[in-house]
Amino acid sequence: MAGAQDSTNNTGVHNEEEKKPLDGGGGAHINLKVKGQDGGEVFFRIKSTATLKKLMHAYCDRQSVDPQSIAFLFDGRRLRAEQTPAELDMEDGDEIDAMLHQTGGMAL
Amino acid sequence: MVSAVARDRHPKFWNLKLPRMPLTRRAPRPWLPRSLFFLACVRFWRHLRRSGRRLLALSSRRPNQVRASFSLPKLSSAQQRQPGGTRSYGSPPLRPNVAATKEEEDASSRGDWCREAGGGCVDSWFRIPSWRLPADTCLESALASRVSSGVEEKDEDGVGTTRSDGFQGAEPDQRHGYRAKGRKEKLFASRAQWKVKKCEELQKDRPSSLRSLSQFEANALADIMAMDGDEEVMQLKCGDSVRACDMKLLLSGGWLNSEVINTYMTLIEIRSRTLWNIHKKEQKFGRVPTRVCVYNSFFCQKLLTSGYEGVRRWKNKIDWFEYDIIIIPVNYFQSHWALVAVDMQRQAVEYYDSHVHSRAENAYDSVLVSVNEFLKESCIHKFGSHQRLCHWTQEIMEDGVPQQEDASSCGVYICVFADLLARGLEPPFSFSQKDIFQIRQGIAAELLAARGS
Repeated sequence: MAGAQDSTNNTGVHNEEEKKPLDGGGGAHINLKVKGQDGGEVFFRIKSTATLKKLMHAYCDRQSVDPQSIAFLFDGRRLRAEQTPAELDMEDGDEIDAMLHQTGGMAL
Repeated sequence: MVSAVARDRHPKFWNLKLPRMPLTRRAPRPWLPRSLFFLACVRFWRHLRRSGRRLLALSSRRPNQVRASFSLPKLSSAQQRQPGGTRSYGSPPLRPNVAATKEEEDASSRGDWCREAGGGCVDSWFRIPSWRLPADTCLESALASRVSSGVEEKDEDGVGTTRSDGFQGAEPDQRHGYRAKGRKEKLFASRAQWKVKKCEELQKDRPSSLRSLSQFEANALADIMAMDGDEEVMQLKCGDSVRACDMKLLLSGGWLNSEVINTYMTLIEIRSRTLWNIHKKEQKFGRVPTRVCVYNSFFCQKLLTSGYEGVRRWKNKIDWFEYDIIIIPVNYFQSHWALVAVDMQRQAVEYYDSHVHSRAENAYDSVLVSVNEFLKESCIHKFGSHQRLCHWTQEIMEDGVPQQEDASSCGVYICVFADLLARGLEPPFSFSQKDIFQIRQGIAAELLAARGS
């Protein structure tokens, strides 16, 4: 499964900084899980004070989808690109949902 | 106990040769405390200023009434006017004044502002006024000031006078503004008028989007139709945003996408929250406002795929039983919109569909079942048992729910259903397919007017 492979593959936004130990300071790194609609999971490791823009672009590049067609949700709240994990109170291991935009107009 | 002052004044004590104590002696207390006097001065000064402004506003108000409905030919003219070039909002081109119709002139001369206010700008009062917006939120700021100042002007003098030359003046509402900083209610001429408007807003049983547009709104929508598709037209503080292409879909009769639906639902929630706050403060309405909680359209999808655990943390800070109604838009297979409303007072899970007869049975069944499961699980999570839910029913609403006759507007229908439910109404709903075009424009104008809230 693509999902299983993804979950083992640790794709970091800051791959080079992965060895740094996690400390409780403001610039700590946290692991975030982005879950697609098909259940595929991609792990990211970003600074909690960095914006989510990089994460979103990395995810969209990886899944080769248009960034405009995806909505990122955290606890049901829509994420904006300029927000940071710190201001959203994200913790290590939190899950972000990547949802494809829905459309509709005709009955089945 | 005789105070030192009384002792000095009273003749009984005159023969006492007591030394005066100039350090402890005080001047007699004035009959009005100094702070109160100061406050009264300030109030009076404000009153003077305000009444002066009011007189100014009255003298400059013009009798003509512009109310043009937004139509497609105007769109094409707007596109021809500026074919892809830079739009210069600073000096907008002259547009011919739209002649007022006879009955509207009559209405304005009668002072029939209730109808105007009801039909003209319904939901704009809860919008954050333009002076609180950052300079360039999403549209060009000039457009923002143009649109919002037009609506505000209408708000505060209550008559709905949109001046036909409103574009020429740089800031048309500068001398009309009665608003003090941070106080929304000062948008109106008087507090009493504001209350009347709020009460009317509460008692209204029409969808707020079913109205004719003002000239300003029509122009703004025409500008949006001429915009590039990827440009962001509006964004709410909570993160929902609408791009120009979504707005074009909405205006041109296409299928609605989740951006528009979610943003509109959020607006409904914001409106009900505002109404509730006013109600708490004032306690003077005839009807208690409905408290609405809205989930976004991804909720149901997430609930269906990953169950209660997937959505456990969504809005976990709120208590469901504080609310009157919970609105959940549902999307089926990227092709159809429906609405699930959890009515806390009737204790029912209601299902609204604008095309109820050709539904796929198992689809809505699974949605209702999973919403029910969610209710049960969250009840257990909060109260330890789901005893509260044992009398709850599920209903497919069919009677009095308008049905769509085309193949594109079910998203519009659920927006209106949600709007009416948030007003505390129940079916039968009084709108139909022939209103849909107008409603689409109304929804677009409301979205545009609420940017930044």
